[in-house]
Amino acid sequence: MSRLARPVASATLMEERRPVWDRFVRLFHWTVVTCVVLNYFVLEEGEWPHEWTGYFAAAFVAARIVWGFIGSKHARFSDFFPTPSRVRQHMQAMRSRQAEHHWGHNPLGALMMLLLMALVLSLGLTGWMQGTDTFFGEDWLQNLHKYLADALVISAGLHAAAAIVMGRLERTRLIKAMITGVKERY
Amino acid sequence: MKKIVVSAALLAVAGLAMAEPSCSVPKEKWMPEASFKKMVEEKGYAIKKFKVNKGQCYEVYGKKDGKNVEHWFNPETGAQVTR
Repeated sequence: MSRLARPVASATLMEERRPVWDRFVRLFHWTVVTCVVLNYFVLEEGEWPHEWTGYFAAAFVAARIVWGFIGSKHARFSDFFPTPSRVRQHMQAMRSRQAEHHWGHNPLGALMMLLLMALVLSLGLTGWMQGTDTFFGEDWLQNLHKYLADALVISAGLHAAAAIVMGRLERTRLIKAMITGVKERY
Repeated sequence: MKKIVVSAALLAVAGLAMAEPSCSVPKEKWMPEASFKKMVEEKGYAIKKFKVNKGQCYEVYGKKDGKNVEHWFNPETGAQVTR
């Protein structure tokens, strides 16, 4: 009797799956991934497909920001905004090897979200500026746009690597969650 | 490992996709900058910026027919080249 009771009890105490990312969050994520890959690796700079892909991604980020106020629980900034105290607590927990579990973004992940979104928006802005009469052909602006793009791709790589590493450490299927919306712990 | 291979392949493609045109003309055959600019202006360009690009082509940022354009030219003949 007592041998049976333990696993049952632990299974009920330890929640194993929860729907976390709503449809818009997932659509947003993969849309931006596609736009970034296209613009950085495939589409010719200075031509209209590159420009409109960039504006499309920036528009999605703008919509995501709105969704951060009206969307589902874990989509909201209030759920994950990386306040200094949240970040500090998270880092301390990581240092003591007792990683906190967050169903939504953890505070460091949230910092990365904000950075990635800021980079997409600033790329949209510096890209648009290059087409204006005032800034057309300006080297400093072209270089700035390039550095921002490099920073975005490097950050996105770090973000993906962190998702793989943290998923293993926390025994949570993070990547699958961004496809199905459901975070599963294993 | 697979990821590394895929990203390397993507980077290689990127190199191709982003490449600006290149012109293999020895420097001593290049027309002087001043006469090139004059020629381009006669074609209807208002030059905003003149450059030599990485591929050793003459490059012009300017207005043509009311539109901002970035065009490349063979530095010997002044003929427009495309990527």
